Amino acid sequence: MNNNPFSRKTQPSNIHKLFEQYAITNPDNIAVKYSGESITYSVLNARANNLASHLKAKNVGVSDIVALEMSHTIEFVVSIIAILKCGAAYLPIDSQLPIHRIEKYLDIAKVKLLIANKTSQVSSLSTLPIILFEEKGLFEQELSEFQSINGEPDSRAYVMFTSGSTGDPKGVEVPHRAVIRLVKETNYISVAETDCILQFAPANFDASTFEFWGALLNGACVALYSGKGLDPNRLKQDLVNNNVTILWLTAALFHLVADKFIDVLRPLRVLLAGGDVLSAKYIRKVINQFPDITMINGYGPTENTTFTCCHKMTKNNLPDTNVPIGKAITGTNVFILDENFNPVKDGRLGELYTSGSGVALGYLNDSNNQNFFYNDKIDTGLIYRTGDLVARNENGEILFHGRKDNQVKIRGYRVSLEEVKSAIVKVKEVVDAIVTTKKYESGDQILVAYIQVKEEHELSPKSIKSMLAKILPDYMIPDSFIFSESLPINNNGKVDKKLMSTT
Amino acid sequence: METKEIESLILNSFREKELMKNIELNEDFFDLGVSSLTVVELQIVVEKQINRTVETAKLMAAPTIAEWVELYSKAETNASTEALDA
Repeated sequence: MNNNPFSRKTQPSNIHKLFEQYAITNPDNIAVKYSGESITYSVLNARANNLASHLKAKNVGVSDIVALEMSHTIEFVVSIIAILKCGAAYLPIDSQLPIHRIEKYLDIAKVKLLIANKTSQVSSLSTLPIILFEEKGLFEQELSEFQSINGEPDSRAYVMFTSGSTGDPKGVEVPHRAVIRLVKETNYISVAETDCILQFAPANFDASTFEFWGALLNGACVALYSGKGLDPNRLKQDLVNNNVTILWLTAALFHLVADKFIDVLRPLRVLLAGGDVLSAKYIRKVINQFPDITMINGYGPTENTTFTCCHKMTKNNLPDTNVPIGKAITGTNVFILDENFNPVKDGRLGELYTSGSGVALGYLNDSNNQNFFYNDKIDTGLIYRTGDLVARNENGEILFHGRKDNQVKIRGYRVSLEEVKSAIVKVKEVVDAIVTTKKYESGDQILVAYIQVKEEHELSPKSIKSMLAKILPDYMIPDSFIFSESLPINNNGKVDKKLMSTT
Repeated sequence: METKEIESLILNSFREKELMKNIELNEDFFDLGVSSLTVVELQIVVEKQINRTVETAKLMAAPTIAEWVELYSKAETNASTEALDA
């Protein structure tokens, strides 16, 4: 099997080189639209050159990691391109995260330099060299020439932290080749220069990889979402005002929009959704309402760079009851295997393994992690074990059946129930806890914590939420708390689902 | 639209949700385990009926029905949203 995407000789093997190519061949194409303004490829490239020369002067170079506070701003876009031009990798940081967690990320990644807002807690705490977004000149001045690094396909492009199955967050190292394989010459989408993709996902979430580079490596335009959190009215205005044609939504948000706010989707040519199981009912509703739309169920762990499998749907192949995750995208191989690494028969449940040019380099802080491994019996390259249980149907399409371990998807984020539990039991009033999920018909899944409180102690949802906010990101804090003197555990020491549903 | 009318409309929309079937005017809905996505859903449901819009961030920072009533009472009828619908 040929896993080498660079047999296509004409194509540069670095993200920034591909972008620079467009800046030369299509200098006047609009690259970014933001708050009513827009800039072209050539201006964006010149601005990134200017910042890159400044980063270089601060000794940012090959294999360094630069952390940057994420936001939907033009400065953020200029920064990630500039960082890549220096041969370094970017690490988007959510400044709303608990400070201990941010410190941990910066420490694990041995960050060389930080780009952040003056007023944010990140910039005040850190002893790292820092560039402030307020130093406007650095992001606005243009420099026509900068000798960007000619890196390897395997050079690290970005790092994103994700929940590990054992509880500690792990920094996934994604190389240039993996991003290029996601958005260039692929089988699930063809982004045209006339397309505009909304950059809506938080930048520390790997859907943003598709949004930024899907546009900027295809001569298309990326429109930056004007809000901070989800705001349906802003979403609608941004789609209309920027002539957005391609949008990615998490499964839960897609279900909500399709159910209650479907008109917002009117401008779109392609709608991608994923991160959790999609409802066939809502996909049918959207395609029936907008017969020219293409819907894509995009599936994949961060460790295999945004999408591993995709399933395209139009009016000609409306989904019936289950929505498949489809087939492997170009440059990716998938294997459904039993515990002995033998392929399972079609229709049988197995674990999904993947290989090819989308596979990340590994975890920053866990280089021996067994989820990344070599096994010639499966494939010659590095293999990633997804932990997802799947089966292949008679059309050769793959269906997702669930997780193997104790992880769940909450608002599109992969969450380890173990990690949430271990944070809760650190609270001094708590004896023990069980963390589970509750799913609503809307597709909205929430985290529920059953907490055994110490005798003569009291806790309220509010008090425990504020304590957890100091150690956990927002999306990992349970929505619902049930306090009791004992946990719903049966005689075998296992969580008793029957006991839970009665509370 | 009268404030009382807005109040009963919001109250009824909230009480249709299982988690909030007994919610009171001054009860913090986040304490009842309501997720932020459900808040957005309720926003959409409410705004469709009264044709006024409020920023989601403001609604999240005001997690009781009483505060929503105040926000929506003060909000102008949203012409721009109508224009988008047209």
